[in-house]
Amino acid sequence: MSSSRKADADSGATARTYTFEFLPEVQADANRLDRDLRRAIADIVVALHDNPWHGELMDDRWPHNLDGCRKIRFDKPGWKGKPRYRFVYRNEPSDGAVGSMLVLAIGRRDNMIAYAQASGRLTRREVAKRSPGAKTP
Amino acid sequence: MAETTKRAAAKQPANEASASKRSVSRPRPTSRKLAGFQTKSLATTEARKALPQLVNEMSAKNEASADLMQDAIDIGPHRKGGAVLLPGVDLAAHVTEVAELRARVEQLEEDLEDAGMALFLQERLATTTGQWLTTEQFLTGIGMEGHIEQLPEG
Repeated sequence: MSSSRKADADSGATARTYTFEFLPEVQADANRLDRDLRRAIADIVVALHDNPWHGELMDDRWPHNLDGCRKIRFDKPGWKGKPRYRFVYRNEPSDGAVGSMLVLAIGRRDNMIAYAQASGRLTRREVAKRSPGAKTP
Repeated sequence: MAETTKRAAAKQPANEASASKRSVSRPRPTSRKLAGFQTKSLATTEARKALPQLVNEMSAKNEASADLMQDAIDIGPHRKGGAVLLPGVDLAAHVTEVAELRARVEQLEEDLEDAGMALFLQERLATTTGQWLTTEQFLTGIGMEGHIEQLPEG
């Protein structure tokens, strides 16, 4: 059984058929994590074969490339706090019957926040360079 | 005579309603800085004597101050603080404000997380090779090939 073939999930009334694809970088993302977290990721992948809408829809703000993207929060079994990791995928098309599911990234939530903050700082620095008189926070 | 009346009044049970009517000379609090706020400060004995009146004044307040510590009284030995008496209305408003701020911070962090992911994906999708892995390749590549047999048959 290959997953480049169609994966069927029998929902009873209607059979759902969609393909699964993973960016190679996602494998590298996962391999940076320990075994417990990789097992949690494998559990998510199995669950998604049954339900492509398992993740929560992400807010598609600028640069507007999150259309149809969903995220699943996860962590090690037994972790008491809020889940620290995110599994991000996109259903295509984003509405109606899912044709394919593309897994795009796996990462720590705080890294994403840090990424946004760093990006904001760089943008402000660029703006300041272009207009030296402008005030930057 | 006046001294006797005073002593008799002091022996009466501390009744909050009558306390406000009595002309108890409330000790003048000094000012002390607590956590960056200037607060009134009383010694423990002074506070004990003035407690009914303080409680009456604080109970009468029905609108919260902008600052939690505005009407706070810092109580402790030698007016050096240690305990703080606060109007209930100020504390309730503060607790509500903290809960609202926590929810707001959580929402902003959530937005920031999604924005960070959008920027990260923008870069990743611009530089990826365009090759995709199958579920089997992915699970095998992360050492979880045991999960392949859990995939639904199709």
